[in-house]
Amino acid sequence: MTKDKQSPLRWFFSLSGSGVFVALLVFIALVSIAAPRVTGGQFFTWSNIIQVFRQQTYIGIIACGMTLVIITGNIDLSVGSQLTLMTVLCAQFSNAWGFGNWALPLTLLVGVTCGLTNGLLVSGLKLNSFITTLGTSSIFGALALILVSGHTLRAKTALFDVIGTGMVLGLIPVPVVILLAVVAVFAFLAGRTVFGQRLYAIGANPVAARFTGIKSRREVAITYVLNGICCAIAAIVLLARSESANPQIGGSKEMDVILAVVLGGTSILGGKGSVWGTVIGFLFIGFMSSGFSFLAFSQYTQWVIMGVILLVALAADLYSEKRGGV
Amino acid sequence: MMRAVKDTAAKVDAAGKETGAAGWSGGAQKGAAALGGAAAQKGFGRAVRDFLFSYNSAVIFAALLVFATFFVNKFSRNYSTVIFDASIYGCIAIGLSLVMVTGNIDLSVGFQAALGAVVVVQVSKLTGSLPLGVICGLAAGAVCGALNGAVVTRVGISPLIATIASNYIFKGIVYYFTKNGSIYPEGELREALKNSISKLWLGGFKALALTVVIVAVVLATLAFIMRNTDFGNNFYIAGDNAEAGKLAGINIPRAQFFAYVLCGLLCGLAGVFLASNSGAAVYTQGEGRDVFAISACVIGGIKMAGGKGTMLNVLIGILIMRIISTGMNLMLLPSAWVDFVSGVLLIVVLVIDKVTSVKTEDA
Repeated sequence: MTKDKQSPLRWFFSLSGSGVFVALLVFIALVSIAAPRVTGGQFFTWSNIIQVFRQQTYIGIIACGMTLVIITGNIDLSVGSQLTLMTVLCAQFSNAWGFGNWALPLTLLVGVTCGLTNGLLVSGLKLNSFITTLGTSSIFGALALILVSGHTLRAKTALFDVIGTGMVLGLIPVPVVILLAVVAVFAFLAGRTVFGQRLYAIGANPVAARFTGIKSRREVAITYVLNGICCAIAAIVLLARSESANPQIGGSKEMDVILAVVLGGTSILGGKGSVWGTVIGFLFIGFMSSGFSFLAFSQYTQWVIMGVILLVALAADLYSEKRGGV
Repeated sequence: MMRAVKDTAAKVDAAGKETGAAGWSGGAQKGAAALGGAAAQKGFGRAVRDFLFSYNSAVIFAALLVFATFFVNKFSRNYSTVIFDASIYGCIAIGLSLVMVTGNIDLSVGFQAALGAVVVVQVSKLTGSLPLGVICGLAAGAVCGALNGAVVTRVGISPLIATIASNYIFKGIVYYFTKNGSIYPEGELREALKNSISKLWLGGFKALALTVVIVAVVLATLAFIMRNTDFGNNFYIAGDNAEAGKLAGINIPRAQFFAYVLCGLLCGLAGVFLASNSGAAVYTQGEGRDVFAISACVIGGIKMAGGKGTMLNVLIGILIMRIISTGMNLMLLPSAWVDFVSGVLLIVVLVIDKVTSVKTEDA
C-alpha cells in the first residue's frame, strides 16, 4: 500500500500506543457505565480525572525521562531507588540541614549526579545497562536507608505547600501542571530536535549510528542525566505532596515506570516509540487502578487483573505488528 | 539435503557440548593449561594475570572468605549458617541461571517463590497433609514458570516486560492470601512444617540440613544435565547463537520454555524452604529476592547475554553473596550496607569482566 492511499484510520493505528488508547477509552466507558450501578459513584468526572493525573504525576514525570533512555535501547532500573534517595535528601536539605528553599536546586543537582553515574557506567565503560542500573539501584537505595536509618522525615515549607497543594486558575493542581510541562519538554526533545532523532538512530542501529558520525556514548549519557533530573523533579513533587519521606517511598516504582513506557508503544529493544505514547501508557495504568478502586476491587485483585491486561495488551500489540498491517 | 542438516546439527551439538564441558571441569583444565603454557612463554606475572582473569569470581570468593575468616569476629563459627542460608536463598538463583543461560531474564522469581510458600501452607491447611502441600507448592512454581515461558517463547513478548507483568499477577495472588501478614497451618501441622525440611539437621549439623542436601543434589544433577545431555546443551545454544541452533534444527523456543519451567520449579522449591524455615507464608517473602538472584548469578559469572556460565559459577555467586551478608551481620552493620556492598560488587564484576574480555581478545 502506498503512503498517499493510507486511510486516516490506518494512520492512527500506526502511531505508537494507539491500541492502548482505544483500550483506555473502552475501559473508561465501561467503568463509567458500571460504577453507578456497583458503588453508586460517578467515574468520569473532572475531579476524578484530575485525581488520576495527580496520582500518576511522579510516575509520569519519570516515565518521560525513561522513554528517552529506552529509545536508545538501554534501560534504567534504578529510578525507584533514585526517587527514594532524592525524596529523602530533599527532606533533609530543607529541614535538618537548613538549606530551606535551596533544597530544590540541590536535589536537582543530586539528580544530575545520579544520572551521570549511571550514564558514565553504561556509556563510558560500555557496561550492560540492565545489570549496571540494578547495581546502582542497590547502592542508591542503601544510601537512602543509611541516611535516615529507617525513620520518617517531615518536610513542610511554604514552597512545598504551593507545589503540593496549590492550584493554577483554581482548576488544575500545580503537580499536574509540572507533569504537563515535563511532558511538553520531552515530547519536543524526542520528536522535534536533532538530539531526539539521534536517539532513535542509536536505538534502531547503534553501528549505523556510529558510522553516520553520531557520538552515541555522549547522547546515551545525556539521556541518563535527563532521567536523573526527572527523578529529582518527581521527588520534589512527591515530597511536597506527602510532606514526609521514608526509605520505602520509591520502592519498586521502576516496574510501574517501565510498564507505562512500554504500554505506550515504545519498544524495549530501542529505536521506536514516543513520549505521547508514554502519556497514554501512564494514563492507562492510572485510570485502570482508579477504575478498579471505583468498582471496589481490592489492591491485590487489581494487581492480578493489571498483570493479565498488560500481557494481553502487549500480545495484541505484537500480533498487529506481525500482521504488518501498518 | 537431510544429511546436510543432520551434519550441521551434529556440529552445532558438538560445539554445544564443548561449551557445556568447558564449564564444570573442562574449564579448570583449560585454565591450568593456560597457566602452564603462559608461564613458559610469557613469564610468571602474565600467567598470574591470565589466571585471575579467567577465574575472577573464584578469586573474589577466596579473598572474601579469607578476609571474613580472619577479620570478622566469630565468622569461622558461622560457616554452617552461610551454607544453610545459601541453600535456602540460592535455590532461586540456580533456577534463574538456567533462564539467563538461554539468554532470557526472569524478574518474577521472588514472587514465584513466595507463591510457592503460600500454596504449601494453603494446601496443607485445607487437606491436612504436608507432603501434598509440598507437591502442590512445587507444581505451582512450575506452572508459574510455564506461564512465563509460554508468554516469552510462544507469544514473543520481551522477557523483561513479560516477567514484570507476571510479577504483578504472582504478587497479587500472594498478597490476596496473606493479606499484608502471614498465614500458617494450625497446631501439629505447623510444627511438622517447621521441623520437617529446614530444621532436619543430619547428624545435628546445620551445614547438613535437608535443604542443603536437596540443593546439593539439584545442583549436581543440573551440572550433569547441562554438561552431558543434549537437553542441557540446547540451553547453551539458545543463549549463544539461537540462529545457528535454529538452522541446525534445534527447537530453540522449546529449550527456552523448559528453562523457564525448571526455574519456576526451583522457585517453588525455594518457596517450600521459605515456608518451612519460618513456619509460615509471609507477604514479604518475595521482596528483593529477584535482585539477590540476579546479583548472585552475575557475580558468579553467568553472562547477561546468555550462552555462558555453569552451575559452579552460580554456586560461587551465591556463596559470595551469603558471605557478605553473614559477615556484615556479624560486624553489626545495618542491613543497608549489605545492599550497598553487593551493588558495588555487581558493578565491579561487570567492569572486571569488560576489562578482562577485551584483554583476552587482544592476546
